[in-house]
Amino acid sequence: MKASVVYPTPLLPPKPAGLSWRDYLITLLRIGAEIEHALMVQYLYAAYSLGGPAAAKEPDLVRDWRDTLLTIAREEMGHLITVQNLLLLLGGPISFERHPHPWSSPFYPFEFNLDGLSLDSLARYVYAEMPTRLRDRHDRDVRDKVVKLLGKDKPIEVGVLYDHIIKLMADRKEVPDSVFDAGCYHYQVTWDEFGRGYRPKNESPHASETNAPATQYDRARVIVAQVVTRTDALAALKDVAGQGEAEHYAFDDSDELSHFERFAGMFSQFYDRWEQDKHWSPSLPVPRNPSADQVEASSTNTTPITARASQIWAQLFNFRYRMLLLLLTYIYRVQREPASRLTSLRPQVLGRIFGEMYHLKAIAGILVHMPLDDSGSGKVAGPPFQLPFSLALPQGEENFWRGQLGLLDASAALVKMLQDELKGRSPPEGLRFLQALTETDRDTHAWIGRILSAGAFGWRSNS
Amino acid sequence: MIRELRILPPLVIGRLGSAEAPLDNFSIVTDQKATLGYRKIVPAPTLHVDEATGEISEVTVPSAMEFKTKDDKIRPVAPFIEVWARVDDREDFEPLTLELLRAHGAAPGDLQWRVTVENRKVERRTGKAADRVQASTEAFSDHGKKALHGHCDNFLSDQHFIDFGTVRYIKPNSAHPQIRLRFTPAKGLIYGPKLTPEQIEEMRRDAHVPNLHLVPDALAVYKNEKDTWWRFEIPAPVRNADPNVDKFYNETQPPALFAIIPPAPCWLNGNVAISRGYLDDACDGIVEVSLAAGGEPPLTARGRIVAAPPALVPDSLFVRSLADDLDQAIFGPDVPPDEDARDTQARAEDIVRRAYETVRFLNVAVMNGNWVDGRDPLEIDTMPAEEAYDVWRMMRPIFAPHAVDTLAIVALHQRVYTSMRGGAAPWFPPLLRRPDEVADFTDTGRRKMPALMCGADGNYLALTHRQIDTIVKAAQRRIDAPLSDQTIEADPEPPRLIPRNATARAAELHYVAGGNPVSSRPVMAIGNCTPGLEMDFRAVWRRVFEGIVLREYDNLVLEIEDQRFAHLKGHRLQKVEYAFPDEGGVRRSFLTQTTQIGPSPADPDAQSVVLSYQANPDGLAPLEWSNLLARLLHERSGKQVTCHFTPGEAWLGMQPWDEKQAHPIETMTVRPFFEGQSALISQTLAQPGELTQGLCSPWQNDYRECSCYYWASARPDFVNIETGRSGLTEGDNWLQKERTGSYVPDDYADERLILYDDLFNQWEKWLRFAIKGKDADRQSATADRQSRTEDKTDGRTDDKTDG
Repeated sequence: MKASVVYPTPLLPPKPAGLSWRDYLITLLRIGAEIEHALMVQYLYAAYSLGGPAAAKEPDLVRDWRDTLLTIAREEMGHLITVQNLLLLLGGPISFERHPHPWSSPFYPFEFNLDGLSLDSLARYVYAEMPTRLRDRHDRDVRDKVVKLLGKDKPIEVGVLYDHIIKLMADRKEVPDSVFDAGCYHYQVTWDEFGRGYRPKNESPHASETNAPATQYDRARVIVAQVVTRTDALAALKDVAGQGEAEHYAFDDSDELSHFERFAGMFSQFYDRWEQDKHWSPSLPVPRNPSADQVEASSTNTTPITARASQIWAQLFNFRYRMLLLLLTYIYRVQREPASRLTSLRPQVLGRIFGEMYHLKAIAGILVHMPLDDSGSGKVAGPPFQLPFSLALPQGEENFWRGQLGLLDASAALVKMLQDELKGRSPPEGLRFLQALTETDRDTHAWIGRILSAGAFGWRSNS
Repeated sequence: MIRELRILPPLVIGRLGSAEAPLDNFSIVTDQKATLGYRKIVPAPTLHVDEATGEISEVTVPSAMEFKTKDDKIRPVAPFIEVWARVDDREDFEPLTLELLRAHGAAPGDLQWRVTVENRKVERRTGKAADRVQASTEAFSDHGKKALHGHCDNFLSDQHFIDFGTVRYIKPNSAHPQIRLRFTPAKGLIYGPKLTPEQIEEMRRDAHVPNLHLVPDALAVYKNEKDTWWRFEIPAPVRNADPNVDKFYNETQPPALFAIIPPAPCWLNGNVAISRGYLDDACDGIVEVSLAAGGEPPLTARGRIVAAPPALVPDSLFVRSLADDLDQAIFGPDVPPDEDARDTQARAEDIVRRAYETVRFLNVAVMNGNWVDGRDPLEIDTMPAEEAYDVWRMMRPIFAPHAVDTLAIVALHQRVYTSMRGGAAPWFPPLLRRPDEVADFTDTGRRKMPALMCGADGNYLALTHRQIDTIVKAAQRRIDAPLSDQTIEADPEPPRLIPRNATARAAELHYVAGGNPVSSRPVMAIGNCTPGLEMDFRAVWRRVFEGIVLREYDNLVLEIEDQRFAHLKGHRLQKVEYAFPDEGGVRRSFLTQTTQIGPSPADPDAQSVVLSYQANPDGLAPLEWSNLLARLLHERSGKQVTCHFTPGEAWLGMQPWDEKQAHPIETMTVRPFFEGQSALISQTLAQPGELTQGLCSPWQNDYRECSCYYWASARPDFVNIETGRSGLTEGDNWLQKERTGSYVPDDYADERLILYDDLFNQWEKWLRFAIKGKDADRQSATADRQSRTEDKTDGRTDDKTDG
């Protein structure tokens, strides 16, 4: 591991008097979770924005960029989940909340915005993920170009947050062992459940030659760490930090490319292309911070989606995003039961979590090919990633599932609108998607109805 | 003038059954009201043949499909094969009809047919040609039924035979002028030895099986003699992989695969497998038609027929079908870069759809190796248990036990499909198992897709190279490439003409002949043949290298057909390579075996170890030929390649590859897969009887012995599924006698399950058709289920289907 760097403590919000160190640590972790969440949707938006005639001239390049962005977004998701496991270990509340875009954090050098991929936005990603020490000339060259492009001259290290979290987590006096709740283990999300196979293959043993290609570090390494001890927690934090914004925690002998290195590679390619043609853009004309809510849009630096069908699609996207976040919050209440006796709802909840991610992917792809407004300007809509007013779960599991039924019904109403009165305004793939979505939602509705009617839940609180 | 004849389709599958009336014609299509649900069974125009005249007397479309009669007789699939002709200088083929014959000075009587079918299952085990059962007709031109009586040197006499069914040259008439033949397969009977009363009594006494099956006198055709199929045995030490065994036995893979004298199965009883001497009336062979007219030399065409078990799940398609393997043999392993992205996308969606069509018949939680009501998963037949016994991998569930449930997994796959229908490019190529990763038993390897199922080499199932490349290419399409709106159905539209172009073979292979149900086509046959249900497709690869015959499941050189290679008998073909001198010296090479790896006990997630044991000290595993040879066949058909063999004979097991060790290197010619320009699988590659010789004898044994993790949507596991009160999936084991809604896990001994003798005695009763995932025979479904959720997963259709 590289030597850690000490950062000036005034960058952190001071611990308020009367707040325990445990609570302070939880606060810092929640800030970390929010940043991971914001980064993830930022990168997803950039990935979904790719396309258009200019991108078609560099199909392989742009596709590789999309894959890189999506891979990094998956890894940020893993970070977010790991932080939730850490929160659980400390007895803190699960947190998938984040501020609506645009918003600023003292731990991120730029305002968080949903923007299409541009040289400027990519430069910001590079800048934010940049480590204190750069390995080679290529990286230094990238830094110089980025600094010049952005006009920044003093990097703010996102890693300072993780440095302090790690420092605090290691402090046996301020955060004693009694703070850790090992009993939460059965509620944590595991890599087996969430990793989806995104990690390198096992190292090959010394064996006879085979046809299989050598192991390559060319795919995502999603980190989802289960934590039950301080040692686990520190290892998880360092692993997350090293992969992402605090590269100095990465192992020297790792072949894995950090987020910075991957963004730097993209930046170099984009820069070279830009030097040949300063008007070249790999993105569709997506808006900054699209909003499906005209009222909200009018009061913040967001772009309202006003074309009616696009607006309904955007609302559908927000509904499904909300369902996803609620399910993610809920899964932490569903215990992983002993293997010898399975009665858990966990398989269905996990399946729905990933299912909603897939739905969001499809809806995003549809939105970026639909008009932003009725002006005929050629501007397109985009996935808003807007949060509901609250992600707090209701009292009792029964009420949670009733809430899910309500969301399915609301989603169905939007779908019906798109299939009926607005039918001619959606692309053919959108209508195919809606038909299939109707069927899967119908099955889900029936499944929820079944478990509610079976009386599996009572009016009880879940800790 | 007629220049050329073709038989279409070139490969047709008949299905066994004892009902008098053949099954009506049907196809399966997407139900537009439930596009993610079960395919809709659509009755189709059915050709009725007049028994007396042999003419097609009428064409009807049934209002409902009856797969099984009220008295539990399964209706056989009796397919038609058509004759097509190419005329003069035209490029395309057209149906051969009365009119076309007349135009060329010929009549129906100028056509001569000859049919040869064989059952070589017993010969495959005993190695004795005297056990080959052969049936052939004389050349015929009339329209009467021709019996296919299979005779065998080891039958009691020339008067004893196996009835393989009939063939009939259909008499063309003005309403139905096309030239066609009909194959009606047999009843699915079990034949065997003529035992003495004392032998029968002894078996009854020792068997402890209350309903021990005894072969009726009429079917007792086989000799009761020493050193024959009756009481044939491969010694238990061989089956126990005893490293001290030094005698070679040409076992099948999986081993045994025949009805044994109880107790069964053998692996629960010291691996003692002594044959009951059973044979069945499945078969495969060649139909030949020739036309001699106008003094011209006769024109000849051939086609293949196969008699297979019934398609018991007629509304679902398996994730890797025989059609997929044949398409790979035709088109090669790669999707061409200039293929229309919409076609690629549609095929990628079809693969995902078939994936969830398959998994919905798997009790995923049980097959995953979860504990079942406190029972150790090692006691139950599952893929992890299979691994533990076969490759000595430590027994663990494949996926997190808490993450698996059938309806949850089906729903997840459906949501993947939904997203793809909405235009999302596949994001999961890294999660697909490559054909060279099939022996990766680490958790990373085991969890790749398709999951929980076995491939033709006994390792984990991989899709064909072509299927994988379809998904990869769909993932790599240009970001805003135009999207497809097509849904690939089981049956393409029948063409008026068959083109002679690059896609001719595929058109011929998938041709929908008039009157033929979809279950007669390769799309409804399974592709991962271990050994298979309709045919053991592994058999076709044995003679791909001219001059030698390989074993169907590994790289052993079993026989020599060209004495120049006599020195290679008993050696192993380890590596193949070839170069493209015109392409800058591009070279390809591949090994024919791989190493089994598993998780390191020290670091299961990051490190691996070779899974080896005494009988297999190098942990070597074979690779299935269909995928292994796909590129070679595509690039070097009819051309030469360089083959590397083991330095010495290696009858008893594979040897590690050592490039540096001196070894025989031979230049060999790759045999074409198809004959000429047609889609007929080369007769040299597979003689009559060889496509089915690796299958179980009798095939009914396989429905008990091989589990659903081979072919879940053809031999299901989990039926009548619905959401239980707990939110998890409940249903019945397809093999459980009484449907209770409570799944009985399969330990091969639980008497609540259908056991071997139940099937031998009454297979048509016990093998239930599943329609929309439920028993088609509704009277056998339990009525004592409370609060059944209305099944909305398969749409609301008006299909009336009865089992």
